[in-house]
Amino acid sequence: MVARGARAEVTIALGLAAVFAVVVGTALGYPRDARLFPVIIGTGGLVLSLALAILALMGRNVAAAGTTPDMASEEAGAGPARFALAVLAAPVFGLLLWLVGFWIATAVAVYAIPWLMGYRHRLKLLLLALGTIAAHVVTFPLLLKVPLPVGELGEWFLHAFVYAR
Amino acid sequence: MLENLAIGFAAAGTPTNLLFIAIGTVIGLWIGVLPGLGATAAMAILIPFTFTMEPLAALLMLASISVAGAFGGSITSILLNIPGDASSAATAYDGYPMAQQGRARVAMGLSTGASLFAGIVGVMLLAGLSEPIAKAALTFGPAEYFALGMLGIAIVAAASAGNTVKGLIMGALGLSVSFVGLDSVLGFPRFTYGSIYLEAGIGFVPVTIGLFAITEVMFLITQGGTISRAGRLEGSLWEGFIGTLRYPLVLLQSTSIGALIGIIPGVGATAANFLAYSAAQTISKTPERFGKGAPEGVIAPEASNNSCIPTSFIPALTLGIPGGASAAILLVAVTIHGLRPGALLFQSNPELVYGFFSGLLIGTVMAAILCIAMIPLFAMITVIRIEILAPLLIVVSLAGAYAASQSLADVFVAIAFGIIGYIARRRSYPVICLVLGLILGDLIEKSFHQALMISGRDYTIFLTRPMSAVILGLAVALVVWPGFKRRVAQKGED
Repeated sequence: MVARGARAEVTIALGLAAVFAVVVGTALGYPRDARLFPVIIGTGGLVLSLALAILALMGRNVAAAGTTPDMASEEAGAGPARFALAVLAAPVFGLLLWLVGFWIATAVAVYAIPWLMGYRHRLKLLLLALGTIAAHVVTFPLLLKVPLPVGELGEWFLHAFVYAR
Repeated sequence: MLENLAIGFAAAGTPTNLLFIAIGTVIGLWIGVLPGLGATAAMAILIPFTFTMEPLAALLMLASISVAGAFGGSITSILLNIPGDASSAATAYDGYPMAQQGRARVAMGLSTGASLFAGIVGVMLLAGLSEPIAKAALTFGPAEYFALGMLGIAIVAAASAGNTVKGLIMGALGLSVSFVGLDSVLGFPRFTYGSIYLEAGIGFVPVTIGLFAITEVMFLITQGGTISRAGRLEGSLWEGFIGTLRYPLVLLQSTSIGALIGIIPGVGATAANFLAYSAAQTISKTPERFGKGAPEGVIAPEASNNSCIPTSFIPALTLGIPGGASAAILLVAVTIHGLRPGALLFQSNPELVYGFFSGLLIGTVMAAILCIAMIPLFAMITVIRIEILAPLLIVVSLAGAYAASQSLADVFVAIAFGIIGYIARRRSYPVICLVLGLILGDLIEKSFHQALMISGRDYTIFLTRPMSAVILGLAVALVVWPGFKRRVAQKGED
């Protein structure tokens, strides 16, 4: 019977071993000088990852691998919804950035994340979203001359209604 | 050295550079005050903002964040028993009991006084020792550079207490990430899988933003509430500030420990913080006072971490090996601005190098002044709810990742590495080793191939060149020693 901590440890170690196996497997198809170092490092990583997985299965090294007390208290306080939000907030923001562009994605993130975390002051959130957008307008397009993405839908909109004229 | 520093002061003392030092100092102090948000995260977020800046101004702003972050990190350690940064963790041992006794002002004064003294000594050592180390570096060949790169990863892995193997795995992962793109020897595309984006390689910036900033946000969201649980701030600093001088031996000893640890690549200010605390307790005639509000218990960790930060830039600037996470990010900034760390940097850009040293000195003094004046204001952010703070950090970080090369792919790389960093930190895999592997990957592989070319593909070159053999031996010893010691201790118990 493998303990929960050890199971997570083994899964991660095997995942890393798979990554290193891909590194070695892919590198073997390259010319000699190009493959040499990736094969050495990949093999080293593969051996270490497998060793770690075996040690975890044997019930060793899991104590060192466990979470810190701070993390443990965080885990105790955070439900699955909060955990999901922590993991998904940035990826969803990234997808929105690609789809609807920076300005709408920012407004949604600054409004929705606090809302999902239980903060319900609508006016404050609206002002915060507008303030964040304003600060980024000044910093990126105006000061740094870096245009921020308008997204796939934004591009379509611009082509359909603005550039077409 | 003084002549060079004078040149440096002229270069660093321009209004623009002073402005960026001030900006970096304010940001560093602010972020340092926030528990959980280290100066490293702030530096990672702000790297993209430095692209259009002059190299000296960019380096000074980033380094000032790091220096001031160490100043600010002690504040919440003392007031709330929550270290603003891991490198201020030991400060809480005696700082918090002092605050509980109503002596919070004295404790913060001691911390600021010790930090100022140690910061100045650290910068002087940086200015004095960098060039000799850089000259010594000129005698190094590819075999030695390869060995040094491996030593850097080994030191960081070995310093990851109890997780050396995990550190090595992360180092190998970082090296594997550095393989993506055109091979530096033949120009052969590797691990690109037909993607044009991957041909350019995976950049330092999105990886660093992901591993430090996005990972931090994930932890903050999980944690919830506010960063600070207490919320009331009080204290005048002067009594403690002057009181620092009553403990000259502790001050000097801790400053020396921090400076020495900073020079060794990869060990970092956190180790210095704890080591100096233990050393101060050891030499004390009344060690039983430690943990109950002893002033030396505040001076020692604060002096060590503040002298450690400037000297951690020595291996970064002279050998291209970062002494810690902040130095690693500074190294990223140096590389982004087209500069190559090493002895040639001192010869080709003396104004930049000594301007950097002088600017750090100015930054250290500026941080102390700002610390005294503005800490109560900075600390207010610790009572802002994470619900508000988290989305702002996500937006700023990912906008920064995008702005670096105006590529949405970089945003997704940052997010991916944020998730990797989150999992890694939860399972105690040291992410700094991954960053180090990525940063050092090109140097290690190029040196490896150059050494083999010189030797006619004779692999023994790494062992027949004395310096290379010594460095590699040291790297192996560092990795093997903790396990060996543990085994001996176990046998002794049996």
